[in-house]
Amino acid sequence: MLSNLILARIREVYPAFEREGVAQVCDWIIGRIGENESLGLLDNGIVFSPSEIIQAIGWSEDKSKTQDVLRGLDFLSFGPVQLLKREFEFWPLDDEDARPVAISLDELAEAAEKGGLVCPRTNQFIENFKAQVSVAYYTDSATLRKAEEMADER
Amino acid sequence: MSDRFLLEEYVEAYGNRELAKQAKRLNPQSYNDFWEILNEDLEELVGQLESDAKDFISAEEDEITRALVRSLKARFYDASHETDEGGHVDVTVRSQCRKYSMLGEAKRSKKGSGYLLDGFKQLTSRYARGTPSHNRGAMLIYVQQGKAAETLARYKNVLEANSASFENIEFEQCALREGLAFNTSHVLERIGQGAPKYIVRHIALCLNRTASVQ
Repeated sequence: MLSNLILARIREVYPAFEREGVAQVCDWIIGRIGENESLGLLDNGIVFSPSEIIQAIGWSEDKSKTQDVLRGLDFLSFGPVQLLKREFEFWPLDDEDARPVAISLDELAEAAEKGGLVCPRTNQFIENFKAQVSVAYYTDSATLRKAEEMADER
Repeated sequence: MSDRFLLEEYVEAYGNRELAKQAKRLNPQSYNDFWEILNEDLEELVGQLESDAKDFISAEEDEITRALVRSLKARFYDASHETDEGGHVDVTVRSQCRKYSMLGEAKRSKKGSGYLLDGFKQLTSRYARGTPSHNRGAMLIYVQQGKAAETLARYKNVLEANSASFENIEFEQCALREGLAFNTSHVLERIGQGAPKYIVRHIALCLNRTASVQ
């Protein structure tokens, strides 16, 4: 199960959450990680999509709720204990069966600066790349072990 | 593809301005970037503490500092209270990449301007490293009694009267928090001339309440 140390680290910051929704999102994600871990399913990893979380918590997809979900996901990815990893994937439109391609943050920053992304498969320059790049967060056993080590160090 | 959360939705949800701020917090490109976003965030977080002033009006210094540190952590800073930096510094704030840092000394104003001056000396002589990317600090002055702007002005006068103790000290208004903050820069004794001066933002937090009408 998730170590008490990690939970303690997260809860240490909870009182300061400016929006209650963020804490709710973190609770839901941690609960789901715990369930998967107890079922021994973590080795394959779990992907968290913001849309899925909005639905699971029973929220509507309004902007402020979506922002709370993203803040919660970002908090668990970049906050005091990094339980999740954030991934960007480029989805080719020309071939529906093609697998998505992972995009690094540097590539995205370059695309934002140049006003378009060079498709890693076809080298085609795509202006409307934001509609073809998905954002997902995931965790697996290795990520959780690292998070535990980080919590121990601190 | 339709069930995916797209980057355009991500940008839309955060809004361009908030997303840019988030990027700066998580991955500042320079020490100035770190300092700028940290001060913007401090303004908002101090504002939140001030809006809850009733909870802090008689709070101990550590209690207020801990609340501020928790808020900084929730905004992705590597913030801590009482970290050992040649003594136990009240607030240490580092960027996620740990390249940049700022130290803060917290003091309650009710012990007087001399006590605040001691805090500034403590920060800049005992704790401050002053090396590149670690040469900014903050004096957090918790005003629980009296008038905050006047308390800060009195402290500034005492600091000016003691200018000789701080090599080449310069004073500057703080546009972010007019009348309730100012900046100083001076040559740190342990670093000497030739390197950038040590910059300190002196901030008065209004944690007082006006007396009720009898």
